[in-house]
Amino acid sequence: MDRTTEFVQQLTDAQRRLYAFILSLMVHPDDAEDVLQEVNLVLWQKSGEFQPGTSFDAWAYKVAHLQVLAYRKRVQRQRVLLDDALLARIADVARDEMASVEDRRRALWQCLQKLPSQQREMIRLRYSPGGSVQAIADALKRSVGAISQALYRIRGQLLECIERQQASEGKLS
Amino acid sequence: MSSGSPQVMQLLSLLLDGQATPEQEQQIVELLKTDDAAVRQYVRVMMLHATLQWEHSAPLAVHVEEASPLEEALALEAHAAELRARREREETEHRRDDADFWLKLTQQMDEPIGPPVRHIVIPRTTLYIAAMLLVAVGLGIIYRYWPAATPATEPPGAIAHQPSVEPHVTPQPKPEPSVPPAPIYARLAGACAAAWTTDTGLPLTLAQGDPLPSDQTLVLRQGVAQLAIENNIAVIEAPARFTVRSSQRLDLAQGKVYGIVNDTARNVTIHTPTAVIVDLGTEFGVRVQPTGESDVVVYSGRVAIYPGATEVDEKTPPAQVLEKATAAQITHTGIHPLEPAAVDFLRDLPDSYTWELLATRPLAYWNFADSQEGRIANLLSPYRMTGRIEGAALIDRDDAVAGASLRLVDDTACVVIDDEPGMDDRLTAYTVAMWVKPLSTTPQNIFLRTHSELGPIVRFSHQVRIDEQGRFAHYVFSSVDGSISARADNYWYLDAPATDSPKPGEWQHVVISAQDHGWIRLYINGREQKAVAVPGRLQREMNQWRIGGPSGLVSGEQSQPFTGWVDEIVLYDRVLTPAEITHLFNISPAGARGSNPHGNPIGP
Repeated sequence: MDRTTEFVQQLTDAQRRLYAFILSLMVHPDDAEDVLQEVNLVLWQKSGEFQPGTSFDAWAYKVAHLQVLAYRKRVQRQRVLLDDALLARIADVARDEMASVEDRRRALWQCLQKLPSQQREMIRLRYSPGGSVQAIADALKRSVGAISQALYRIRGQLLECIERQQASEGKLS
Repeated sequence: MSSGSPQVMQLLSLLLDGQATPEQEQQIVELLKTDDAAVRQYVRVMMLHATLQWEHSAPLAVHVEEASPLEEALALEAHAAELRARREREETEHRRDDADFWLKLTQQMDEPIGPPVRHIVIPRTTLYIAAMLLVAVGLGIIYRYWPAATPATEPPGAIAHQPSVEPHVTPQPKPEPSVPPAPIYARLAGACAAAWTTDTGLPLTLAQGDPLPSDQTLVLRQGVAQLAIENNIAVIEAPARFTVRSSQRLDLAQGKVYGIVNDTARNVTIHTPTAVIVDLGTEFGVRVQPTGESDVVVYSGRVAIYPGATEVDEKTPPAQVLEKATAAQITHTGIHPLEPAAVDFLRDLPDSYTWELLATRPLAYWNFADSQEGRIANLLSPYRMTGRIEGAALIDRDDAVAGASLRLVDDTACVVIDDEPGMDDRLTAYTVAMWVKPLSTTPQNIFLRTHSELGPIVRFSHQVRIDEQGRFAHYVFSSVDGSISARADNYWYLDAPATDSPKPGEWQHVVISAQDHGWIRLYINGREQKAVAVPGRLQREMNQWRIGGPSGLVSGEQSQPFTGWVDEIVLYDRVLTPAEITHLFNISPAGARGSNPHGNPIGP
């Protein structure tokens, strides 16, 4: 496999992890998608600097962290919830946790199958394009508070289920 | 098992949904600043959020099926220009301390990354490559569809076409809530040594559980993949080119599909270049050859065939209904009879050992576990090279390195494996690995490359054998002028024997390799035994392999036919390195049970 192909594969492999890492720092999915695109371009531009045999993810996270900071600096259209110091703290933890993204994704897939169909539908409505608590509340003719509470419970159940799966496979740190 | 503090969970959930009040947001910040456990919980919640977001989001606007690489490059260039323009606008707003900011940022890195991409002028050649990269990356993002937890509905009998998309990579604006998510009909349930590309040749990475895009042609270049299409299973063998059109329709342009249809309420159809094949509640296999001919084998239930059709409905009577244990070939001229044994289909994913072995990319692999009715199946190879059992050879499932082995009971036992056309020219270098359990150390031919009409006593042959001194040996015989002559000046031979005698009744790993104008080599249990220089070409006028079989000459003496067991025969069209051979030994269950081989190689 030539170096370009290998680089493309590594970058492609890393997309989910990068997106999760960036979202951890950005909170808002739209911002995270924008930054992910920028990170991809920067990584490609810097591909010659990547040393095969070293950790691609570590390098990519470093670039992503800087791109997040740059994006926040550049796009000051919204209030920043997490300051730079807290961002660095989260980034440190996120770098460690991202190693398990793929395992957790597989576990999530199984956990989703275990959810009652109404809860699965709730998650689908929330995360489908344009999905929001308000839109779900309107569609289901329920209060925003009730939908928020339901999503909180479902997310809690999914996390519990994922942790159990990870523990049963000996992958929980 | 706890997923963390309920209070943190509730606050984070509100934050993710945009429902947190400023006070609650501040609470979150304070918790994150003071509580390490809260930070970890935050990251895990965000991973969950990101995964759900990723799986459900609309695809990026990427079009690969019809756009040429140049079009993709031009599209990317337009996108890059758009990005540059956007950033220039933003730069104007924040120019005043930008230089200081970037200086500060780059000082935080071991390797400075320089200014942001807005200053980068991308040359067209780079764009071309970048286009491929970004389309590949974009394709990864395409798969962020809603998982099939809630089956998507489709118009009855219709192909579910996705709306056309823009021919460039760009963040997709969020569609209106009324737009349903793109349907996902199939997921990758598992794969073994699989290499994927798009129809235009761009590499794809697909992981277990990933949804497969509907109406996108995928190419499985190597390996095997198992798809879950709602309740049905499809095992696809490379090389294959296919498109999932709906939960009931798969278009197969090339390759092999073994289908297990569990949902008998709705028919499943396979569309090939020459036919529409309709399952009637069954297990069946379809192979589409590069020339378009479609081979269908039914293992249970029935299958209806509509030759030349592109669409079928319930009112159209099929041209033929195939019953269990029957087969047919559909060409452009009609339906022709076919022996069910003519095509082998892999019915499940290989185990981890086989997975590792196939990852070494052999040309052919016979493990005997899939053998049946006098046939020795060759797994996952673009070549058929199915062996036929002659005489007293048995599949032994009680004594094997893995799964099942081949037991050659007496001097009638033999397996003949015919080459595919052109194989002789291809094998200018080869490696053959096998596990052997002989019953004695008397001279025996174990494995032979030879000519079909001449048998083992030929003008040219390559042998794994036990020689007259009771040692494993790699032996090559060649006539100088192509004639069969006992004159000493009319032939040459090469003999690479082992140092020690084999142990009767024990499994031993035997590997031979050879190369034109190179060396013939022999390895036993991962250790190289002997290497001998080859004076010229090795392969001439050979067209088959034999396992065991009629006796031949060993150093001028009549040899005994091999009796004993062989297993896990693997053929490569290249010379494996000593490290690769040691790896082969170590990954097998028998090798893992034995000691790790080591020692200095013998020979050059």
